[in-house]
Amino acid sequence: MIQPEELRSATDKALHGLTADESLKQRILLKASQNTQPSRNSVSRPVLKLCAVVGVLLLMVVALNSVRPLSPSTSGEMNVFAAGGKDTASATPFSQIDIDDVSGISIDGVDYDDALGADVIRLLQSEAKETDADIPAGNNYIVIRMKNGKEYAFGISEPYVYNDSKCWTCSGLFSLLQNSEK
Amino acid sequence: MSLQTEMSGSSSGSLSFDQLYELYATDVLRVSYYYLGNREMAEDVTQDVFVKLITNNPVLEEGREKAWLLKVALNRCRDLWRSSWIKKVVLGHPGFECFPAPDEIGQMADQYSLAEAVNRLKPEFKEVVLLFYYQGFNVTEIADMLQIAEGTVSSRLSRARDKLQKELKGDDQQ
Repeated sequence: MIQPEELRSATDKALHGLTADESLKQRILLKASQNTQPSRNSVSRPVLKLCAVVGVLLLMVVALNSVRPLSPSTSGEMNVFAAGGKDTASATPFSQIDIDDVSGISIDGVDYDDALGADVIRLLQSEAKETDADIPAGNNYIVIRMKNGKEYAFGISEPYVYNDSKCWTCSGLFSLLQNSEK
Repeated sequence: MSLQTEMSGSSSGSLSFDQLYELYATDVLRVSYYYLGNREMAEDVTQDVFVKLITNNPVLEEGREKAWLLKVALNRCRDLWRSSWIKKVVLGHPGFECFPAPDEIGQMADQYSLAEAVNRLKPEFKEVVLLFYYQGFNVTEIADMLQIAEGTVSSRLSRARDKLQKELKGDDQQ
């Protein structure tokens, strides 16, 4: 029985015909020369990447502008879209971009500004309560209609009872608006 | 000077590419072949190793050139072996084909048995057997090349030896 110690001689004999020949050497030299020559790709690739990034950014600007006007809203108008672009939504039910319509707002006397808008958005995102029934008529609610068809109602008076349950969390929004009037 | 000549003349340490290729390319090719059981893949690995030598031009300690080349080759083989595509599509159950010298064909049964038994070992056993018995590295050098403890190398060698002996005894009894 042949022993492992004889592997060297056994392998040399068994693989005698398997040698690194001149053709493999030429292949290596050719491959190495291709790798070391500055290819056109290596020059143009960063430029292409840069163009792609700029293109994507431009598309995003166009898309965002069509959803949320970049111009500021008129003073006193509660426009959620003009919240200064401070989208803090991540795991929240909606983001500014998803919002299709906002209605039922009665906040006369509140001077709207970007900071207030951002705070409202933040509160709405943290206090969102999905509606599963018809929204009661009246102007003490903020109703936000999403592009996917879902609606979210937020009371701006305290205490707020809706669908037989109290919406205590909405007091934050109420307080915010009350304070803003001062 | 042409690019090819420049490259053939490129050196890592005291030896030129040509010298390193002459001395060690066949060893790299055969170890890779043992590992992968596929000649084309083994040639590709050898190519990758020497291309890396040329392009990276590492500073190799004198006497450590072969260890570097085999270390890079084994890493590449391991990567390929781990690739499920290679295992399923190219290698399947890798066989082992001998390439004997013309006058050795009649006496190759034993050599073939041993080569095939080594080829059937799991990669972690196969690499220590190849480095120890075939390439003549000691346990410390192998531990350094494979980045494992010396004790692990010894234990793998011992288990591989047992497996080989069992396999070869089985062949004898048949």
